Formats: sequence, C-alpha cells, structure tokens
Amino acid sequence: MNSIIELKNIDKTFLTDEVETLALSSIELTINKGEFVSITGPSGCGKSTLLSLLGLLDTTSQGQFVLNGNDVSNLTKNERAKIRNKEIGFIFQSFNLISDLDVYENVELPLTYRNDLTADEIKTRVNDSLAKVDMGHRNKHFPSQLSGGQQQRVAIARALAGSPSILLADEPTGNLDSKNAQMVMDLLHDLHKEGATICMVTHDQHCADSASRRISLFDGRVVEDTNLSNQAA
Amino acid sequence: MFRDIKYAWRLLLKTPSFTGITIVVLAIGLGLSIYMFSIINMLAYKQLDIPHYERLVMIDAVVDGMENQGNVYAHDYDYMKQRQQSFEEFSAYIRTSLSLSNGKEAQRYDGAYIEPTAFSLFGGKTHLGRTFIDSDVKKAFIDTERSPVHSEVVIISYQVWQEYYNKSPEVIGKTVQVNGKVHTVIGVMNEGFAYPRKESVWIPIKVAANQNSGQGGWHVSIAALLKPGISLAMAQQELMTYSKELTEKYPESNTNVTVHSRTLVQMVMDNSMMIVYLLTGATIFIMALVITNVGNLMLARAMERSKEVAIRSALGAPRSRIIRQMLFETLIICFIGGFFGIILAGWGLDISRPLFETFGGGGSWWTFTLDAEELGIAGFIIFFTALLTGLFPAIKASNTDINSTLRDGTRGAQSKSSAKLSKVLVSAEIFLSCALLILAGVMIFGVNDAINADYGFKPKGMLTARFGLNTDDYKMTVERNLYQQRLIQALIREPGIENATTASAFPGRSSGRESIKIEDMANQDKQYPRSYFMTISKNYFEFLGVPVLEGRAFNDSDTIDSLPVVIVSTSFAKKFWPNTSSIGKRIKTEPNNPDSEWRTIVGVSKHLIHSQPFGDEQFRSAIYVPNSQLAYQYQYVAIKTALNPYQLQKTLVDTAAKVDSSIPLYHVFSLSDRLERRVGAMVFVGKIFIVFGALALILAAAGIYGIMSRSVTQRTQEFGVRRALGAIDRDIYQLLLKQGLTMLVSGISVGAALGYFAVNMLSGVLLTLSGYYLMVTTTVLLTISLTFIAATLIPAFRVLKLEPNSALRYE
Ligand SMILES: Nc1ncnc2c1ncn2[C@@H]1O[C@H](COP(=O)(O)OP(=O)(O)O)[C@@H](O)[C@H]1O
Ligand SMILES: [Mg+2]
Repeated sequence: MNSIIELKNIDKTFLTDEVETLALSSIELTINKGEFVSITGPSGCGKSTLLSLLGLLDTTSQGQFVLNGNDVSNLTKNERAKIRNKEIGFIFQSFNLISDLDVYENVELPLTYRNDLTADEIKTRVNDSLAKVDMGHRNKHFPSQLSGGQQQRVAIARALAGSPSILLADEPTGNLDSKNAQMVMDLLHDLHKEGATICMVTHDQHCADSASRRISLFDGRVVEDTNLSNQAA
Repeated sequence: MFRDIKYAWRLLLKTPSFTGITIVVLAIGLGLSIYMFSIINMLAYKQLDIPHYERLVMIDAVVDGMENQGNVYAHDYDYMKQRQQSFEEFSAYIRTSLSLSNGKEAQRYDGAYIEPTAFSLFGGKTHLGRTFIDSDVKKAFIDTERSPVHSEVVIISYQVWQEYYNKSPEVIGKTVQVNGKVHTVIGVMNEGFAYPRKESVWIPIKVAANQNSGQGGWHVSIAALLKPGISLAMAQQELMTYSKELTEKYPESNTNVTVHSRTLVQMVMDNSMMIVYLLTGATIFIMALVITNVGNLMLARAMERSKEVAIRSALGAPRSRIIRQMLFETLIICFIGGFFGIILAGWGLDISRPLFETFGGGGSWWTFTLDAEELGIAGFIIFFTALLTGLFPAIKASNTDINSTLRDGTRGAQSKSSAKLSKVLVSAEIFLSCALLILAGVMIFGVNDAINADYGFKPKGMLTARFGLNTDDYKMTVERNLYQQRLIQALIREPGIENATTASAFPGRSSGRESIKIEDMANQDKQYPRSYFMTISKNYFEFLGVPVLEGRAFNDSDTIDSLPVVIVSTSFAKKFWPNTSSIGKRIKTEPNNPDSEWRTIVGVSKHLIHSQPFGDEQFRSAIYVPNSQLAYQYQYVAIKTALNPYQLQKTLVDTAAKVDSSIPLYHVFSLSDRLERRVGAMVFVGKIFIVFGALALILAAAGIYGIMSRSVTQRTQEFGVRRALGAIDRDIYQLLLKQGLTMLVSGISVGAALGYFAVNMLSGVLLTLSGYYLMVTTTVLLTISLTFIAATLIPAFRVLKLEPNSALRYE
C-alpha cells in the first residue's frame, strides 16, 4: 500500500461554553503518496480542523486514523509530537516563524527536537532546505526583516527540513499579495513534482484547481472528491 | 478632568480583584515604609533643640579599637586642650550618679560633673535661677583624687524640682546634701534638658592635668564646639596627631589608646546609627519590591488595554489624555493604599514605643506619633510610588504602535520590548528579595542568638538595685564591706528571699575594664592586657550558680589584713597560662601606680558574659576581688527568689532602709530585664526583619509568578508552533528554564553579593553574623530558585494542557 493517510469515520466536536459544535462528521479519507490534495469549502466548514487532525495537532472525537500504516488515534501528546516531528511538515497562513530566532535557527528548530541527527547532518539538511526555497542567502536575517513571501518560503524550508511524509499547508497564500502567492504556489508545485505529498487548505478556486485532487467540505462533511491530475497536466 | 477621574474610578470598580490585591500590596508596603521612615527620621534626623548642635562634637576614648565612653585620661584631655586649633570650646564632663539628701530622705539621680563651658555648650536655659559660671568652681581637681567635687553649688532638672521639691518656688538658695556634702541650689533647668545624656543633677568642676598620663580613677568625656568651617574629619585628624604623640610619650598606658569624635547627633544615636542605615536600606528594598510588583500589575493592566488604547488613539484621542486617564487610576489606587498604609503605620508606631527605650542609651528625645513632618514624608512616598508605578506603564501602553497592536505581524513570541521588560522585572525581584532575605535571615539568627545568649548563669528570679556609700560613715573599705555584709544578712532573713549578694557589677551592666600587669611575664603587646574588674562579696559565685572550677571561692579568711587575693575567669587563665595552672600566680591593676598591690590568684571561675552577648565583648575575661579587701562607693545588691522578682521590690528597698536609711537603693530591675535591655533594640530589629523577610518572600513569589505567568501566556502561540514542529512537553520546560537561568543567575548573584556585603559590614559591629551567612544564603538561594522554577513551570503546565491546535489559535 502506498497510502500515507487513512481516516475512517472521523468525527470532531468542540465544546465551548457548554455548546457543542460538530466541526467534522463521518469523514472518510485516504491520501496516497505523491498526491497534491487541495481542500476547499466556505469559511467555518471545518477545513482547518481537518488539517489539524491530519497533523495530529488535535485528537479526534471518534473514528480511526492510520498514518503510514500505524494507528495513531489514541496516542499521548508527546507521542503525537514525536510523530509530527518526523512525518509532518506544517505551513501556516500566518507563517508562524519564531521572531526571536533567525532564518537558520527557525529552519533548524524541528531538527533540534530529534536526537538521532549529528550536528553536521543538521547543518546539511538546513542548508539544503533553504537552498530549495532559494533563501540560503538570508541565513542570519530575522523574520521581521523579511517580506511576507520570503517568510513563507522560510516556513516551507522549515517544513521540509525534517523530510516529512506529508506537507500540510493551511491557506499558505492567504496573507500574501498575488505575486508572492504565485511564487509560493510555484514552489509547492515544484516540490510536488520532486515527489512530495501535499495537502493544502485554500478557498482560492484557482489554487484549489491547480492541485492533483480536490476535496470540498461543507458543514463538516466531504461533499466532493475530484481527481484533477489529467486536467492539471 | 473630572470625567477622567470618574471613568478611572468606574474602571477600577469593574475589576474588583485587581483593585483589591493592588490596594492590599500597596497598603502593606506603604504602611511599612511610612512606619520605617518615621522611625528613621525620628531617630536620626530630628533636630535637637540646641544652638549650633550641628557643630557640637562629643569626644571619647577608644581603647583597643573599642570605644570607651568617659575614658579620656584627664592628663590627655588637658594636653589636647592646650594644643587644639579646631574647636571654639573644648571642655570636660564626667557622668556619674548623685544622691540628694535633706538629712532624712535620700534620692539618687543620674548626674554629671561638668565644666561650666561644657554646660553652656548644651544651650541649657534655666527655668529658675542661673547656670554655672567659672567662679562656681573653688579649686581644680586632678585625676588621682577620688572625688572631683570642689564646688558648693548644684543645678537640678525640672523633673527633680518637681519630684524632690514639689515645684517649690523658693528652691533657689536652699541647701541640699549632694553625695553627703552640702551644696546650694542655684538653678532649675527648663523641662526636657537632660544633657549630656539623661542627667538631672549637675555640679561644676574644673579639670586639671596630672603630670603623667594613665593614672588614677577618674577619666572624662569631652564636649567641644567646632569652629565654623572646620569639618568633623579635620578635627578628628588633629586629635589623632595628639593621640600619637601621647602614645609615644606614654607607651605603657597609651598604646592603642586614641580618641573618637562624633557629632552630638551621632552620639545620641550611638551604634544605633548602624541600625538606622540597616533599616533604611532594607526599607528601600522592600519599597522597591512593592513598586516593582504594583508597577507590574499596572503594566499588565495597561497591556491588556492596549487594544482599547489603540482604538481610542485611532479615533483621535491625544496621547496625553490617555496617559492622564491611566495615571488617575494609579493615583486613586495609591491614595487608597496610602490611606490604609498611614493607619497601619500609626498603629505600628503605637505598639513599638516601648521597644525604643534602649535606643541611644535610653535617651528621652523620641516622640512616637505621626506628626506633620512624617505625614509629609508619607505623602511624598505615596506620590512617588504612584508616579513610578503609573507613569511608566501608561507611557508604554500609549506608545504601542497602533498598527502592530491591531494586527500582530509575526506570530509566536512575545513582543521584544515586553519580553525584555519581563526579564528586567524578574531579575530585579530576584535580586531585591535575595539580598533582603539573606540579610533578614542572618539578622534573625543573630538576634535570636543575642536574646537566647547563655551568659553563663540563669538570671531567672534575680532582682538587682544600685546604691552609693557616699556618706562620711563609709570612707574605708572595712566600713563599706561591713554595710554590705549586714545588708546581705538582713535580706536573707526576709521571707521569700532565697539568697542575696553584692558586687560592683553584675552581668548586663558592664563594669569598667582595668589594665592588668602579670608578675614575671613580659608584655608582648607593649601594652597591658585589659579585663573586667569587679569587687564582689564572698557568696557571689554561689549566688549566681557559677562554679569555681579550680582553687577556691572567697571566704571569711580573706580580710583587709590577709594576703590580697583575686579570682580570675577561665578565659583569663587560659589566655595567660594556657599550659599551666594559674593558681598562685600574682597580678595587679593600675600598673603604673607604685601603691598598687600584687594579688595572688586563689581561684578560677567559669567564664561569664559581662556585657553584650555578641561581637568581641562576649569573650572578654574578668577578674574578681573580694569586697573585704577592696570596696568601692557604688555597688549593686542582688536577691534571688522563686517568685516574680518585682514582687520583692518593696521588701528589698525597705530592708535596705532599715540597715541604713541614708543609703537609698535605686535603679531596681530584675537581672533578666537588665540583660534584655541591652538587646532591646536588637529585639526590635529582629522583629522588623521577620516582617521584612516574610514580606520580601511573599512579594517576590507573587511578583515573579505574576510576571512569568504573563510572559508564558503571551508565548502560548509560540509554544503551539514549537509543539507543531515536534517539541514535547519536556522541550518546552527546558527552553523556559534555560531562558530563565540568565534571569535567575544574574538576580541571585547580585543579590547574594549585596547580602554578603551587608552582612560583612554588620557582623561584629552589631552581632556575630558571619557564621550564618553560608547557611542562610544557601537556604535563600534554594528557596528563590524553587520559587522561580515553580513560577515558570506552573503557568507552562497550564499552557501545555491545551492541545497544540488550541495553542496555535490562542489570541
Ligand atoms: N478549538 C476550537 N474550539 C471551539 N470551536 C472550534 C475550534 N476550532 C474550530 N472550531 C469551530 O469549528 C468549526 C470549523 O472551524 P475551522 O476548521 O477553523 O473552519 P475553516 O478553517 O473551514 O474556516 C467552526 O465553527 C469553528 O468555530
Ligand atoms: Mg481555517
């Protein structure tokens, strides 16, 4: 099998102020290696929630989640953290770089939470990742000294540094102007061509359609799952 | 403006717990500060009601580095007086105790022999009659004479006039026996005049020099008036050159003998000045802690409102208006806190009045109310606090860039300046509390030692009183001894009295120290060793329950005609005969006096602490001579009872009156009280430091927790990102501790260094402290470190309980 992610009958409810919100219900989803999946839908339909479940940033309320053949539905917080570190690369809408750390240190960060890498290996990986996003020359800059597009490229480098099985991106172009947005999309497509598996939330129709597969959510349910690979080519 | 105040008031009422906590912290902090500064102001800076008091200098001898009041040799006084250039006036006085008697009834008072010029230096104004003039002194006396009185006039205080003469307006010109000699009352001083210390009877003298330094029984203190423009330091330097000349001329008596001058204000404070500095420092530190805490609370509040402020400035509110409105909030809180603080301070002053009786040698100058001046200080402290705690946060909050507040650019960490500020605040809290806690801990242990000191005997149930055998009936040792033996016998016969004895001094009331010459022993130091010297009745050691460890106690075979004997303390014996027995060795006092007798050591008694139970004084040795061979005029009597000793006060006084009605007993105190009075100021300081220490710990813990928890909460998103990237809980804890380490280490090391400096400065001067420094410092550093770690980890634990998803969404 080359499926990376298998969701079986997933529900997610939030409890706020005694009110239950059913954010996701009965989600069945399989993502295979090498796919570029886009998730679309109106605001509040559960896109971010789904992505955070895929990224093990939150627990499911019900259902089974198999990641790379392992059931990860019932892990402790720290076990989930270890899996995130190795298997998942995050790209956020608001970049989420750490302002106290410079570009190099931001990219290095996920690698410092492992203890199976030597200093040399870390250095090579960080520099390779930065080279991939063409940010190697900004090593010593701090996030505040970079444009939004540059910050997002650093964030992508950070997501790549750990060689994850899948990249999860939540509206990666949402905070960017169209020129920078296009640059980030191009970068993601390049990565996809090189073999990366990507799952991206977006409400931009054009972006959604440029993926190899499009999933639409409405009110916490999958209402459409279209393979676009023929069109894209 | 009124609208701003009303708005501020409404906002405060909307957050009652914030307002309440802030007011409580302020009330306690301001109350303590106002209380302390009132005491300090009262002790150190109140003006004395004497003309030129700031130029008035008191000079005393320093022997072996220890100040010895009233111990300048008359010869040396005259020597300096002939040569000195720094002073307008230079005159001597001798503090003593004088009894007034009308033939039937005798009463004893603190008094002074005083040169007429010295008397006028203190600016005394008479209520009746006149002050001294030179011709009141009939003849100069020299310091080998036993009594310096060559005058037939006396001046009394208002209080004596009131008590002894019932305010009789005809008192001037009346005669009275002063220490058994007829004197004429020439003046009554105004109420409150009690100089040089706390005297109420004065007799004029004129001091002339003996040919040789270091002889005789009378020494003097010096009061002098600096010439305008001459500093105390310059004058002291001049006197030191004379001390050096005297040491060269008379090495045997004057080696290591110098003089020390200080202003009257300093003298009144005595070594309480050290306590004042100590308390001032500690109070400033507490105040700094309070300001840091309240300032931090205000800052947090201002930051919470930064969005509101940004909106208001976007709507066009001028910055000054925003600052002013925030300042009103601080002012309201500070004034309410200050109001309760003043009430607390007034209450504190009220209950601590009795503790101050031992300050400045029991001076009577202190008043214990918050007067206008102190209320002024209080107002200043409150206003200063309001400004410090309010202005800075208000400026900072109003300064935030509207754009970045409404739309935060980089997600993640705290804003840089607020992170830096948190670090500075936490380091400050750690540093202030460490220094204070170290000082407080060491002081508390030191004071506890002093209070529970083992003087070498148990003072429980002992009552002491003083008497002076100064009538013509008691000129000789034999007569004086006989009186004492009769008194002892009469007292022992009274029911309730288990035992009685007499001595020239009991522990707690330091006796004079004498130079001692040891037979056949070369002096290593070019200078005679000194030791407490007491004349005692034969049952003294039995009475105190102090064993004579070697040889024998005194007994009836020791008479005026038998071999002169002496008992020495183990501390004395061990010092001079570390390897052999001291029994049979001979010593004498007054080494330069050819008439001084050699005394044979017949016993070695257990070491007793005769003066303060701390510093060097506790180790000082003593020698004892039997009353039957040498008896002084002034003696103490002591009785022992199973009852509360004060129940026998009347029995004691009445029995003495039956033995000889012309010899009144006075200064009746239990021995425990005498010992406690010596440490009374210390007890106060100890209590204050318990309060300081507890408050410092609470303020620091609350403050550090408040700041850390805010800064951790502000970093919730950053931690969310780190966790999304794979950080486990331990990684976050480690990160926080690692980042906290710089704050902790910098705060702790500065605090510990400052604590060390303070303890070093105090140790030996006030108490023996250095022994506790290491133990206390270790405990304090551990406590503060644990507090800090808890303050870091507890909020982090709270944040880490969230799913990383929620942390990332945290606003
Ligand atoms: N941590 C949370 N607590 C409570 N409700 C949440 C939480 N996260 C999301 N929700 C709710 O779940 C629903 C889906 O949210 P989200 O996944 O963020 O939508 P989208 O990303 O598609 O705009 C919304 O109604 C939202 O209010
Ligand atoms: Mg979303």
